[in-house]
Amino acid sequence: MSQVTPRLESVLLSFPTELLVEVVKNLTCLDILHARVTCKRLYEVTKSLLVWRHVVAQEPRQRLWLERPINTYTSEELEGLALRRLSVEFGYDNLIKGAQPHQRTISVSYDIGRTKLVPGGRWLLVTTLRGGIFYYDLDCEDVGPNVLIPEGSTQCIMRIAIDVDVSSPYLKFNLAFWVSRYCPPINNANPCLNVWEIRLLLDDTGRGIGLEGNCRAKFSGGFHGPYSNIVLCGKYIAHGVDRPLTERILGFSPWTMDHEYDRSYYCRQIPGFGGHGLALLPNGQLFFLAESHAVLYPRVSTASGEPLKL
Amino acid sequence: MAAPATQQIKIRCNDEKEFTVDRDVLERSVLIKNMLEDVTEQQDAPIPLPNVSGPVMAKVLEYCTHHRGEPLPSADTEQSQDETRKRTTDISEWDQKFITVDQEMLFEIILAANYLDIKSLLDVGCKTVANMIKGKTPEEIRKLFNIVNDFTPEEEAQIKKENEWAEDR
Repeated sequence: MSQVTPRLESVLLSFPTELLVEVVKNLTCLDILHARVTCKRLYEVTKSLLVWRHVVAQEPRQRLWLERPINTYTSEELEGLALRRLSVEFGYDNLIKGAQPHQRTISVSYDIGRTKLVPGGRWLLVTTLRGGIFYYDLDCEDVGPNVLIPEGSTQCIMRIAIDVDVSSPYLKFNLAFWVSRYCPPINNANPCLNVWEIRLLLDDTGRGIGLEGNCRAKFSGGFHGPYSNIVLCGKYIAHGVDRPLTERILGFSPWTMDHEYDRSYYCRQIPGFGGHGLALLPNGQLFFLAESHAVLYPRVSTASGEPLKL
Repeated sequence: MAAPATQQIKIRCNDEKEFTVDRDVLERSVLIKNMLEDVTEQQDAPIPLPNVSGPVMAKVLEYCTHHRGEPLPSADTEQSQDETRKRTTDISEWDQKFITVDQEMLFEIILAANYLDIKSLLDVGCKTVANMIKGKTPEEIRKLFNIVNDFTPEEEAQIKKENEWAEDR
């Protein structure tokens, strides 16, 4: 048979499958899709788990898309993640060209305080004006609210910050929020900083199906608010206070002390905060904008900070 | 334990072509390295390589000679992340020139590298084929590699529909 049609035989397709996988691994997502529609053999190869593991593992920010170890994903799941990312990029291109992007609408039947999208894009956190935090699974067809932190007080959550633990094999992050009494004048508010540890909830097959968390710390931060900014990184929290007609204050505290009493939490007061651009970096650096310049503290040591005075 | 670098080894290809090569050059091939380790005394009979032809072996030896002395990748097939990242970098200039051959020779080199177990050469070959595919339409890919479209029109429409947004890009 090869004598009849020698020129039509594809040497590439005579390769063993593991070699074709080696070739396809080195393609971009888009090229993989193009190779897929050429013939049945390459179609099968482009569905290979090794191909998609390689494509996703190459992504420098892969930790932000994967909420569990890469070897627990099927090839369909990894392909879905990679292609969704790619389609988002195309979506932005089309947006520039004026086309309508894909969009989803979530209807809510309560008053929303703040929203925050957890890095990775699957989980949307929404705070309520009754002191609760709900989460939405955006991967679900039918998106409805799930309780992460139950409501039940007359207080509302006004500021929220997330710090993802990138070293954890499963999605895990700390969530800081400031609770304030709703309605009464701000001066009489009873502010409270909370830090919760949030983990991915797994089903029997090891797939992520939700979020769960527990409270790790609860303290006032020393300034009675209102906090205009909260940032969280590792075991530190920085919180800026912006009182009308008075000064702005920036506090810096370790929150992992697990003390029962609020007064046990230390807080170091950082001068010169301009109310904006607050960031806490993993190497201990603190950045913020002052009135007319930017400030970067190389490393804020709480040891030299003052004990919290109430 | 390692033999002196000057030791000469004879190999014979499937077209009777013979090469006499420094042992450390040949040991870029994990297959040959393992064979040599199994042999304790010096033997004069050439090592038969029934899956490689003379012209292809000459190319492979050119590669091995250029890269002699470089550390071999670990035998561990499970790639660590660092290795994965290294693997995705571009092909070096010398390798690129080396691998600029016709398609038939390229495929022969890949198959030989796979048989002889020369991981770095296999990588260079597979990346080169991947580079040939990059940026091409499915029809161009078929033409390049003599691939016959064996999908039914319905199947093809279905696959295209799955990733409609990626069409014409």
